[in-house]
Amino acid sequence: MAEAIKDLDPDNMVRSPGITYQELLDTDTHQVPEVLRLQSPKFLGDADVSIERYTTKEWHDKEVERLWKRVWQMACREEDIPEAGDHIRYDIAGISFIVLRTEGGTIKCYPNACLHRGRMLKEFDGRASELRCAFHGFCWSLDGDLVDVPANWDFPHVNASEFGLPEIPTATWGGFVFINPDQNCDPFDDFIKDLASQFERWDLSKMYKQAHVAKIMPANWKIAQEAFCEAYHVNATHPQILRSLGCVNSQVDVWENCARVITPSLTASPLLDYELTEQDMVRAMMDIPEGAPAPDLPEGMNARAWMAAGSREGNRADAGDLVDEYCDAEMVDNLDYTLFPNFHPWGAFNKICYRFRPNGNDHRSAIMECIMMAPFSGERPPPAEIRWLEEDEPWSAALGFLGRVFDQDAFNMPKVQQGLESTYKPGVTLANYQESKVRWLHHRLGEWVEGE
Amino acid sequence: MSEELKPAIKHPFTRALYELQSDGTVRVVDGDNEGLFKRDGRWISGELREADPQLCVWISNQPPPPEELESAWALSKEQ
Repeated sequence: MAEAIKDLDPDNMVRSPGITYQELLDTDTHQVPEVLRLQSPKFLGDADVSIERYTTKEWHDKEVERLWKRVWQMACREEDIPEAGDHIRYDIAGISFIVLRTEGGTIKCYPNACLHRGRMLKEFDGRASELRCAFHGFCWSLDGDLVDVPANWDFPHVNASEFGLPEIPTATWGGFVFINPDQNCDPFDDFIKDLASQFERWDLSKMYKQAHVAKIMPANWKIAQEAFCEAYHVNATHPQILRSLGCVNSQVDVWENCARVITPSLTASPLLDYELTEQDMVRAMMDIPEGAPAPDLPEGMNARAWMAAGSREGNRADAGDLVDEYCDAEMVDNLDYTLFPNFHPWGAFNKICYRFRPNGNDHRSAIMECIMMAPFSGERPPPAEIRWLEEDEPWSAALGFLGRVFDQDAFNMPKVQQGLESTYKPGVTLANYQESKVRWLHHRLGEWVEGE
Repeated sequence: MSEELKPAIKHPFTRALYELQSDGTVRVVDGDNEGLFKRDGRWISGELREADPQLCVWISNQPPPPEELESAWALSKEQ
């Protein structure tokens, strides 16, 4: 059984040497919002996590039955289906759904299967006036009503009123569309409330989808996801940013159905045993080559304030004067939230939103997606179409500088999978605090999959 | 790529210099020793036989300029 979760006292818990995140917030040039002042450290036990969760088809099959078929999950953006008939195909672990906009403007979701012989109704995203099966022509309206059965004289046993497409629960939050394959699921409001309360200040519905990049990763979906759930790995995986990132003094907060890791930028890692100047941190943050000059900072301004000021001006054209309400931390830090089980929106203008899921029923590969959310002024720009990277294409080919960072994480993923397939050790060992979001994910997973 | 702006970075722990070569390999200089490594950190030549693979991955991964990225996305403009 999983150990009980215990609250930790943020003022008296074991933590990294160096400045705490809350102390760093005290130096901010702007008023710090309450949401960043929240602290919710938890002790979730220190037992190893069984490697079977990553390596066995049996565990994957249990995840499908007990998690993916029952849990609320992000399917798309509302802006992906703006007009009546617009639809996307959402697949999870070998199960396919159609998410569409009806004539009345509501969003509905149906299993992607004809009720006649079961053929998939829609292979691609697109716009449709009806849902007509390409096999024998059974046809449903966008509202899911059966409207045509070719040669219907041969189907006296098909009653149209009982042959509507089954409706799958849907909900929206922050411009995202969620579905739940379980028609008897728990209310969405209970599921989203923890995250929603954190994002009151950062309205993602007012952002648009600037980029959407996806790639099949050669590792279990949790290996891919957990590569982005802690900052402890930065010292070995991303050494180039250690001079500008407070990796091990990140703040980790855990609530019931969401958790966050806040990693401060432009403060040196406590793992470095030498002093850094503010300019050194700017050089590292901006990836300025050795030998090239770094920008001079204005007198009396530290690197965080300088970079935050630059970010405010960079965002002002699209975000307007809202940028003046955001503190330095909101402009430069990494506010990485996770909503169980696989949705990762970042706070403020960080733009990043990840989603990780199994690649069909292959428990050794995953679909990793990065959606970039951006503010806009005037008319909403059209959302970016998804771009699938080929197996040998780096993330940097689509996401530039940010993609370079992902490529380092991606470099680890197949090696983690292979290592877990090879190890004689039955479990992975996690840090008590820094990796508590990973442990929280497994705690929740245990509750869903093993009934712990 | 011009010689003056050759991508190069010092390792935060060892202070070794990692420098991208025009053929995509990575030259690592650690004190008096140096070596040449592939993009994934595999040794090619030189007396220095070990390098940090992740810093080799980083320095050798130079994306196209934002205006040439295939996605309609240019994060770099704000970096």
